[in-house]
Amino acid sequence: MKDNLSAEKLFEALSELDEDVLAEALSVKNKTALKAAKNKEPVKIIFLHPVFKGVVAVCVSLAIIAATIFAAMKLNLSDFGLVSSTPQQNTSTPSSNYSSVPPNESSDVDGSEPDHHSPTGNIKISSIDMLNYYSAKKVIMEKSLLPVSQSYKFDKNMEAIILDDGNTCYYPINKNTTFTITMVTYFTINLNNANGFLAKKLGGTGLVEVVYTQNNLEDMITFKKGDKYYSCLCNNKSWNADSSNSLNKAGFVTSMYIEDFYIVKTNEQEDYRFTVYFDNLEVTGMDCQRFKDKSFTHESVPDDITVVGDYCVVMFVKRSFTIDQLEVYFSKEENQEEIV
Amino acid sequence: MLEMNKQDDVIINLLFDRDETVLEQISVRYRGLYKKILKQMLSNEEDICECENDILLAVWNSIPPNRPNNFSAYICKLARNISINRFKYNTRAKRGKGYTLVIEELYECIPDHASKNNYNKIAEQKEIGEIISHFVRSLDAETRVLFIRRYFYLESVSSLAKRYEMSENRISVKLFRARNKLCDILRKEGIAL
Repeated sequence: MKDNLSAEKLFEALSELDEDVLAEALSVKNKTALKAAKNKEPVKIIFLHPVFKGVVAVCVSLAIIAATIFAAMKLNLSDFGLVSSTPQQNTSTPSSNYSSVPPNESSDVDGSEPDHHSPTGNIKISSIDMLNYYSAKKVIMEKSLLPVSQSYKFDKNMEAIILDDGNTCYYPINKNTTFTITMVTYFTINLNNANGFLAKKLGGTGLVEVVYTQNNLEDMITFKKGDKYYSCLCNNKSWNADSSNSLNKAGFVTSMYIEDFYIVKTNEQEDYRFTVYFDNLEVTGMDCQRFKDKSFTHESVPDDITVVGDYCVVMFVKRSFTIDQLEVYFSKEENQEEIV
Repeated sequence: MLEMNKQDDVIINLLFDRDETVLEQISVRYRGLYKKILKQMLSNEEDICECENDILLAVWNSIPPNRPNNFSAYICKLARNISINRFKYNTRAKRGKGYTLVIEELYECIPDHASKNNYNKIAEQKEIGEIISHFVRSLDAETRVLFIRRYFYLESVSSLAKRYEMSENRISVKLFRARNKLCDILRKEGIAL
């Protein structure tokens, strides 16, 4: 029933709006500023007619096949020392393989040591997963902290390509973009059941590195197990009601995920939800549960996940990186480690 | 990206230093801003005055640990929340006219009775807030600014028209379309308010 109580509830819910959006409205004080805001507006929604969706799908598929064949050929050639290969990539799924370096000394419990380096010893960042992971790692390693508010917000206007009558949005991210993070959480978890969602995405049970960052693209969580990555986006956060007003928990949904250099938001994908629990800047737990049809009726069997408490960090900092900087930094870092 | 100006930075640093003189500075600099919200929400001068004190206290208590990126938006948010709480305790007679008008407009965003029976969840404020955030970000810049100034800062349509040199009718139409869009989104999300 429509009533004023509901309208009041809606009015109150407006209090949840992000501060950057509120600040934008406050800063647009006159006609000129409004005009400037309109001109600055980078959001350009491209609606693709369903007919073109098929064409796009075919093109994407062909590109994936070509990339896979090319990568395979290159790998084979490099096996024989005929070419210097770049890191192997699987561009077809949100969970992809990369040659990379883990943060610090963690390794897989199941004993399968990931391929941390390309044959040339260089790091090649080929997805937002990796960008997120290596940026977080650099912040942790450098410890060059510039504290910022826990509620720091960015303008996150991105160009979207919407497929399938608006059900799927692809947000292409420019590889030359500057990636700015304002919060880093790093911890490790153990995946205990092989049939769990994450275990399937990451190729089995065992130790998984988890990086959660607040950044200028989207708040995202990246899981890394060996050379496999999986990232999805935050859809809600809650804060302690006490005077500390600190982060209490953060929820992530798999309907919004990372695919190479795209942020993908869809209504169609299987929808699991991760919740990370915090207590006074420490991660105390993590859930992974399946949700049905966008409702909150979740199935009774969650993934069996244990947070490993021996190394966990939550930092509120502001640092910006480009892919080039990270690649150079970590290649240098690796070389130094090898010398030591 | 919107950056905090230097004056805001100074104020926040004083708050972090626990310098009580900062409250005076906040009052001088931001009183006009947050009082506008209070006046739209509440009609009773005594309530408004008490809420002003509550706002300063809330700023003092919440910074630190918070370090808002935009202090103006932050203090407006506090003002809005505090006046909502006060509003809840008040009788209809003591409620502000501006608020009543906004509520009447938002009433149009509420999905109707017929489809409510199909809704599978009663939404929490946080959840509705997330949906509205996504919705607001999906709006073009002009509509977004108008929507937020009208429904968050409770600025009247006539004031918006004057500010942006647009006709009241044009603003009303834009807001009307935005409300309809929000109604559709709430309906699609199966949100019962």
